Amino acid sequence: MKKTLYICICFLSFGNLKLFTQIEEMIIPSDLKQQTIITEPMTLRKGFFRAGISANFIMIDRLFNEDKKKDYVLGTNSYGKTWSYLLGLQYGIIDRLQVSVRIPYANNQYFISTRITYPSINYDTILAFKTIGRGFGDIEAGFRCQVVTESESFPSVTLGVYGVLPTGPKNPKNIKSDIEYDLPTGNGHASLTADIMLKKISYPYSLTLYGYYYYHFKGKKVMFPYEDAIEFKNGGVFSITAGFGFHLNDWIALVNDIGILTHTENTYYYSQTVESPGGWDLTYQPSVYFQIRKFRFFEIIQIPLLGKNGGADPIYSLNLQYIF
Amino acid sequence: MSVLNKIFFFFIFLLINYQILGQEDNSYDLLTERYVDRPIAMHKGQLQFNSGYEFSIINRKYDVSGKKIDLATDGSVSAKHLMPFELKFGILEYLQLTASTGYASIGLRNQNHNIGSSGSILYVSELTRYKGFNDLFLGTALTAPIKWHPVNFVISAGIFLPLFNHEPDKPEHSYTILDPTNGSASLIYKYNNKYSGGAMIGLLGTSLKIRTSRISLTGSFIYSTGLKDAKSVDWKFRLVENEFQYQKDEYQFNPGITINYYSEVAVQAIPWFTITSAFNGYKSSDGWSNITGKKVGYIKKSLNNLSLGYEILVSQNLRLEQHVILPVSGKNIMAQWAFLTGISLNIITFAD
Repeated sequence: MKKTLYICICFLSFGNLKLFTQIEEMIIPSDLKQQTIITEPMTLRKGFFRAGISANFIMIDRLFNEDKKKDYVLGTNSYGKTWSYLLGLQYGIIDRLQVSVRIPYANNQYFISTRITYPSINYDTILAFKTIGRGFGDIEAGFRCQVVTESESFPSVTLGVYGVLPTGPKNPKNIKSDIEYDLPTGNGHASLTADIMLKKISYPYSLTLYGYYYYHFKGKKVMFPYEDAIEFKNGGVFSITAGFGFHLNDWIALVNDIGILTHTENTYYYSQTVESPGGWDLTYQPSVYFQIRKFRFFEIIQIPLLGKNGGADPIYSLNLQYIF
Repeated sequence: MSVLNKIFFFFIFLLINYQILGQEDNSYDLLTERYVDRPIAMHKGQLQFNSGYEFSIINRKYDVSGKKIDLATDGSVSAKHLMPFELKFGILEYLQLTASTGYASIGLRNQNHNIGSSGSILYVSELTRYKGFNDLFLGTALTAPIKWHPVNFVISAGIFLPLFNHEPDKPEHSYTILDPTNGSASLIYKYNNKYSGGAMIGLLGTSLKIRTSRISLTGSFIYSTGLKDAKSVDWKFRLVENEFQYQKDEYQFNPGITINYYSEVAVQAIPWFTITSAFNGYKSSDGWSNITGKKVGYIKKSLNNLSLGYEILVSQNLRLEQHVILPVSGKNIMAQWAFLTGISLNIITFAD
């Protein structure tokens, strides 16, 4: 009887051992590099390196006015379109700590065209100018740290700190007139951002909550042609965004973010201090991600829904990333 | 319940039911059919909902001789936002019903005009808005019962119904004195039009698709004409003591005849990814209106576009497509480059 009992115990032990071994993770690094926006952790794993480029486009057409009404930009006789390109590099120092650098390149164009008529002297002409700003912008560098890893009941929590240095040109150049000159591509001031991001994965879904505060240091630059440089300080920016992402299939994911952003007034220290009003906006941001092995291509449209004293035009973003 | 709500609930209904309804027989094969193999019309029992978002920048116009004018130089570049909605259903393998509309928002600017006179300047700017739903299109498509797979031939007919309000709202012109000492002022003309055309239009068309194992060629030709004279209103206005006064006058119009043509080459790169390139355009003529008090013919217009895009078969129910559309030639018309992102939800509600 004892012998039979021993055999049964041994059999059950082997069985359990086999069951236990079934949950051992058999993931190789190349698989981890192919994780999607839904399944990846919020920081790169140790030794992983990601490079990416993005192109963003906006046409300046409408804005939210002081009364929170979406209206067209009228009476300014100009329109603008902005392409900005961004080279982003990220590296995982350890599984929970990632450093990153972002180098922007701007291509801003503003068109001004006005017909001018003086009937009394039979004068009728069209003045058309194109103001361009091309060049590198302000470089951003920082780190992101995963302070809490995801568990069954709790999301992962990461904290990020990023600094922007005023490396781009900040003053107008090649001034031909007060409306014809080369636009600066830098902001002329340093900034510091602190953010927190929570993420919970429940395959094929993920939920994210993201908040940040952007602090701008005081700067000094020439605001408009023929003016002296003045000191200025942009207001702080606070934003909270909630996101819901899901897989459409194994390699295509759709992410829907909705966020609110507030910004306080900017101050310009002329002989008399001038302030531009603060405001806020509520945006919906759908994005579609294509994960093709280690390549990731994604498109984002940022659509302002409501707002006050801010832009009301959608921003388009095309992005390509590769993880080494 | 508003039309938007109805569309929303129908969409939810589709999402909830497609799995229950769509898992019979050869449904999977039909829904995952490669782009080049698909017929022009729906299969029997196939329900397709198409939507998306198209962003356009109206940045050029073509004059009467077809010469291109850069609107950036002209100071009148505008943007257009369009959300198309389309529902197709295959009653039989050779008979399809279609309903479609779209919601758009456009703000057309005119070049600013500064008029100077003895020390004062009048700053004149103009914005013409078009906003709302387009006319509802109801159509049918009959597929020729040709069993030979390489050829698919369809005859279609339909009607545009002016279901949504097409009459323009009262303009919001404004006159503001900027400098009382010298009389400089700002004059802004702001027109509030609807996107709906407002005329009942009949349509007759034909399409042909030639299918090979990797490539398909599609061509279609559509003739449409106003079925009867339509009515709309024109807002007359005058400036009295710095305030605008308006008067609503009714007028009649007829959109005339429009000929649309479309040709497309599709290359099936891999079973779920297709690259498409298309040439399309239209010519319109014979329209008229008596908005000025006399019956005056519309000027003839034409536009040709080239487009490049792709379609991804995301899952058996979902297809994703994106296209870049560029104008190449035209006459008497404003033209736009457009970026279209579209989704297509497909289910088989019943099968043989």
